[in-house]
Amino acid sequence: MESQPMYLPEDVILKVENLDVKFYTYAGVVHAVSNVSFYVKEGETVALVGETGCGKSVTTRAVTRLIESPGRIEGGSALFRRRSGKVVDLLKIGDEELREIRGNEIAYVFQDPTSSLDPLYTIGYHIHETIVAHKSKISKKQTFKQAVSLLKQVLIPSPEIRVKNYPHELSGGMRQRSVIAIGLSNNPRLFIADEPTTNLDVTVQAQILDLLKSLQENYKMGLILITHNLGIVAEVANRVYVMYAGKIVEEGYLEQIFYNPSHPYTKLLLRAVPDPTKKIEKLESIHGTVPSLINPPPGCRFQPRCPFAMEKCLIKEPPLIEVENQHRSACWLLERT
Amino acid sequence: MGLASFIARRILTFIPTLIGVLLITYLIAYAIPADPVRAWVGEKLMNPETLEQIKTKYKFNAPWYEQFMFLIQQLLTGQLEDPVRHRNVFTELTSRFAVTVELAIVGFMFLVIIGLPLGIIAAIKKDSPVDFAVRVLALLGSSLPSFVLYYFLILVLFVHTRTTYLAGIPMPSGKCISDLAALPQSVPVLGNVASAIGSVPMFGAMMCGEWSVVADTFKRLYLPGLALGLLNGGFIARIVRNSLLDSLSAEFILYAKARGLRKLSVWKHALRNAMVPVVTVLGLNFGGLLSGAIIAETVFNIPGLGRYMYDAIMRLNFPVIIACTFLIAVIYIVVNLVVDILYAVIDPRIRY
Repeated sequence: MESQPMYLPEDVILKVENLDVKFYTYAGVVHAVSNVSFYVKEGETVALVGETGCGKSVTTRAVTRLIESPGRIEGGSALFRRRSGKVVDLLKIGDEELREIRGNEIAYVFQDPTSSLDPLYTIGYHIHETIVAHKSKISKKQTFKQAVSLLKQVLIPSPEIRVKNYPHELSGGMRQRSVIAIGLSNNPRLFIADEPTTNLDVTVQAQILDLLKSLQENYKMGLILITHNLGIVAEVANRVYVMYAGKIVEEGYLEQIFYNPSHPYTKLLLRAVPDPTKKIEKLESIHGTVPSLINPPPGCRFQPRCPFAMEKCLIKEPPLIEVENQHRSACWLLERT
Repeated sequence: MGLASFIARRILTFIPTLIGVLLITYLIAYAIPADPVRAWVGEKLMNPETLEQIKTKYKFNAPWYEQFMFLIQQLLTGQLEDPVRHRNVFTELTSRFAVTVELAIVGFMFLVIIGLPLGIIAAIKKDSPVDFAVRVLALLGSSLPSFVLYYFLILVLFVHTRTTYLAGIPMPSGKCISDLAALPQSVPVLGNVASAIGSVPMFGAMMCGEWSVVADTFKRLYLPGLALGLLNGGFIARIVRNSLLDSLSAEFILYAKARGLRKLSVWKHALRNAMVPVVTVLGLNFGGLLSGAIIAETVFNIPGLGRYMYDAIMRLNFPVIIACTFLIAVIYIVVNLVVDILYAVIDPRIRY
């Protein structure tokens, strides 16, 4: 019964289904990600949106099993089409095959480039070891040459010098770009960028986003962008998944989400984005805080903060309900009775 | 600039440090209400003339600062004499220190062999029996009176099994010693260095290829070395464990895994990042071993610096106390300097 052939539609690179991640802490079991499903197509940019702590990072890290103790992946599947065309379940394959995929076919950019980089090694060395880990016969000279050209691609000035720099010798923006360059070392098929612009100035942010966009076009790679900044989403994403308290509450194409938001949480999120053309009296916010995932509220998890909460929301958790083609939302308001 | 100027600046700070250390040591010794001269001379030779002669020589009738200045002047000109043995202090100090260097090397070997692997295993298997054992070893090492451990080891490994002996220090053959002593004449600078290194019996024997002497040295010194390693090994293991756990939980380790690095490369990142605190503690421990393990040398009957110091203190032998203090201060200062330089080798963020 295990040997069902794994099927992925032609143009889909990654398909995650019913992903469940729990953290077994002293305070209790944190159900960080529950029943999350999403997919990424070739050359597509998918945005995962949500507040801090809603499980965006955990979701993407779980895809290549980068969840460390006390976290555990409790269920689900993550089908991935390898470069060879072979479809594998990332949550089930052996450690060595997974290692071959990490950093080679699936590249990550973590939230904080400063702590991602080992302070004791140069940027060039980081790229060198990332390449060497996946190609056996390649000289140091060749990898450093490749490092220089990667740094050039991410628009780092005088890459021949920068390649020999240690992380502390670079500015925040350059570190961010270096980490992107490291991610591109092996021409990944899927690029996962976790808040790649959070720590940067607005001008540098724009540069990095342009960069990601153009690189994605060049490399035809799938891009998962994790962010809480809806401005960035509007700029680069094709499809959007909105997460709340470890669950996907709304999913759809960018236009569908932005012009026809149907989950109250998405609506409130969009309202919280300041409109630069109007004079702002007071910034909009969603009252209340993200619920504890040790004891999530009964029924719908957004119900305590939802202005439209009904009796049913307290009792039963809403499933994802189709709003229009490819656009689904987990809200009882959409239930047509 | 850079490293050279850093070392030059550091060497300048040595001077006030050394003066301070010597002054404090001298004042403490001076404050002891006893007559050192009587202690030096011994019952047999005790007569008023001899006592007066020595008192004049060491300026015991002058104020304390003149006595101190006299000792310092003798120390710096290399004329300081051991008033008990009537030998130049430096001659005695050299042969004693050579033995302590041997003990320090053997002890340090055990320290590293015990501390590093245990620390690494304890970090990998956190909260496992090994981790617990390391905790106990560290606790015992710092709370157990050292002589208890020493006598226990003697009981097991000497009294019952005779795997070692407790007298004398193996020396290379006479020919070897005179060959080494003649080196500076044939080769100018390098010869001096080689001859200095060769004055440590174990190294001298190595240079002459007398390997049985080297083996004998290990046989003689492994017991005190093991004891010293056990005393501090637990502490070292704890430091290794904690700093390795710190670096293992760093984000760049997860990132290294996300980049698909092989296990070995991931460990390389973790270990190198864990090194800085470990190097500090190892350096200070080595400095401590070089300063002579007073109790270990006494219990295991090793004629090293520690024993020399112990004897000097017992007989209020001021000149020897001052000379030993000077040597130990220099050792610590140099070890600290070396540790600081090693930091820069390990961590590119540290630049001088």
